[in-house]
Amino acid sequence: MSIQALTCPNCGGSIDILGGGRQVVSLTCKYCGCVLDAEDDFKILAQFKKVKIPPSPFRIGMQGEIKGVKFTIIGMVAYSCSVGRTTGEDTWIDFMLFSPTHGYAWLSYEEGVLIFSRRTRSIPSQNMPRLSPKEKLVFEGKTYKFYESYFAYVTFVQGELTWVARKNDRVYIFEAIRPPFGLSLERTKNESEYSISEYLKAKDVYESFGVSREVSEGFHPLKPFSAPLLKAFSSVSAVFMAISAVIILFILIYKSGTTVREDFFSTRSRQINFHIDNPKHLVELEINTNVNNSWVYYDISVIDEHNEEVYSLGKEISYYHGYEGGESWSEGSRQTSAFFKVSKAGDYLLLFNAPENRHSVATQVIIKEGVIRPYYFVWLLIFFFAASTLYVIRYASYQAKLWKHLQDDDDD
Amino acid sequence: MKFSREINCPQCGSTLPLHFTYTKLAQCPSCGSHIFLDDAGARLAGEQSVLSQEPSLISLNESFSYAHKVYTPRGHVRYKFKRFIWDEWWLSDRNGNGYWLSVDDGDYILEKEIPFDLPIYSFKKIKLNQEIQSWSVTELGEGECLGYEGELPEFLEIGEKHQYAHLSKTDGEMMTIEFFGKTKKLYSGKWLDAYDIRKALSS
Repeated sequence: MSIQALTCPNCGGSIDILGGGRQVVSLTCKYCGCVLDAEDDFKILAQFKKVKIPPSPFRIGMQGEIKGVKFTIIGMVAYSCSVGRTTGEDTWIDFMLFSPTHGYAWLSYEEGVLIFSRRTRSIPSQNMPRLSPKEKLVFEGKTYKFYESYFAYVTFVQGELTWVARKNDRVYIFEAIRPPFGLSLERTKNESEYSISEYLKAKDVYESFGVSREVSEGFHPLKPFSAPLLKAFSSVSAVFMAISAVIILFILIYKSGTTVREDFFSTRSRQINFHIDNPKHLVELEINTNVNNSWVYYDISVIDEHNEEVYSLGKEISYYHGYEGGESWSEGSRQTSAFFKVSKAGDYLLLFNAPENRHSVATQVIIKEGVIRPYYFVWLLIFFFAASTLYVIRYASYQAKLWKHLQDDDDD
Repeated sequence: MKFSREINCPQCGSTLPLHFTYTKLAQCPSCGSHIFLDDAGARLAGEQSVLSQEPSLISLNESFSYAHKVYTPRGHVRYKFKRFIWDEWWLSDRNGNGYWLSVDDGDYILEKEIPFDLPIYSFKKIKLNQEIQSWSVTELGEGECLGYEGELPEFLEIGEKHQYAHLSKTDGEMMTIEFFGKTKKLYSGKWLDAYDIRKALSS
C-alpha cells in the first residue's frame, strides 16, 4: 500500500494518504482536526477543535490480519451514546479498515473488546426497527435476537473515511445478536446500512497488529458465554450421573458383603474370632447396641495370626431421646459401622473393650467381608451434579447481565 | 457444455485457445497481441496493453467458486474513473454461460446481460437517487478503458470511454446500464460477499 504526502490547508501539518480506496471521501488532519474533502481538492469541510485522541492500543497506519485478510487501519471514529462525552461507559472507537481485495471493514474497540464488522447488502427477514428486545429475526438462514436500539454521536474523527463525519453527527443504531455474531442497522439522515459483526479474540488481533499492550476485556453482548470446562462437564453430567446412580444401586443391592461372623455379648470386654477369605475388598464391622439415654465407648482392635494389631479404633455409641414442649426428640444412634481392610486371607481376632462403662451394654456384632462401598460413585454423582448446577447458575447470571438493560429500562 | 475453437495469432502464429463462441476480442498468450475475431477470421487490434498486477482474489483462468457454482475468469478489463481504477472480469461457468464480475475496492458484483427494458433513453437524463421502476440509482460515472487481457465478448479500444449507472435494490440485487455512444446495454446481478469467494479445486 502506497503512502502519499499532503499538507493540511489549515495548519500545514503533513497528512498521510494511506491509499484507502476510491470510496474514501474525507481525511482528517491529526494536528488541527480539520476534516478535508478528498473529492474536492482537500477543501476544509469541518474541524474537531481541542478534542483529544480517545485512548486505544491501535493507531492509524497499523496493519494486521483479520479472518485471513490483511487490513490497514485508515481511519477512526469515536462514538458516545451521550453528546459531549468522550470517555467512559458507552463510548467506543470504530477503526476503519481497508483491504485492496476485500474492501472496507470496521474494527470496533470498546472496553478492551474487539468486534469486526463489515457491510452486507443482504437484509433480514424482519424490519429491525419494529422489533422488541428478544424478538427473533432471520438473516441468511440464521436466527438472531433483537438486542437494543440507541442513538450514537460522533465525538472524534481521524484519518480517511468513506463519508464526511462531523462532531455530534447522530446515527440511530439497531442491533441483533447471535453471539459471537451480530447484525446491525445504522440509520443516518442520508442512508441505512446493514452490517454483520463478529466478536474477535483480542489476543490474536493484538498479535497480528503488533500491539504489545493488552487490555483486559469488559462485557459485550457479542462476547459469547464461555465456561468451557463447566460446559464439558455439564454436557456429560446427565450420562455420568445416571451411570453413577446405577452403579450405586448395584453395589447397595449386590455388593453389601457376606456375613462371616455374628456375635452377641453383654460383657464389658469380648474377643471374637473370625476368618477372612476375600482380602481384596473391605471388611465391615456392624455394631448394634441397646443404649437408651446412655452411651458406651468401645476400644476395638483387630489382631492377625501373628498377634500383630492390623487395625484399631475407638467408637462411641450414644442414643438419647425424650419429650419436651409437646414434641419428641432424639439424638445419636444405637448402631454404628466401621470399615477396614486386611492384607491377606486368614484368621483374625476382634477385641472389644469398654473400660469406662459402669454397666454392661447388650451388643450385637456382625462382621462382613467382600464389602464394596459406593463412596467414590457418590462423590462422582455429587461432582457432576454440582458442575451442571454451577453451569446453569453461571449461564443464568450471564443471561441476566446480557439483558440487564431491559430491567434498567423498566426501572426508568 | 464446453466450447473450444482454435484460431492462430496473425502476429506470431501461435494457437489462440478460445473458450466462448461469442469471443470477439482476445489477447495472444504468446506475444501479447490483441486480436479481433470477426467473421473474416482473426486480425490484429490496435494498441497493446499490459495490466499492472494489483492485489486481487481473481486471476485469469483460475477458477473460483461462489455459492456452490464454479466460475473461470477468461478475460479482464481495467477501467479508470477520475483517479481510481476498477476491474471487470469476463467469466464463464461450467455450462459455458458468460458473466461480468465487477471488482471495485473489495465490492464484487456479478452480472449477466439481459434485454434492455427500462424507460431510459439517455445517460444525461439519469439522476442520482432517481427511482426507476423498483430500482434506485446509486452511482453514475464514466469508465475509461486502460487495457485488457484474455478473451472478451465485445470489441474494446484502449482509451475508449463509456458512461454507466448502477441501480440497486435493498437486498443486494444490482443492475448496471452502460452507454457506449448511442448503444446501451443492461446487466442484472447481485453483490457477492468477498469472504465467500473460494478458490475452486479444478477449473
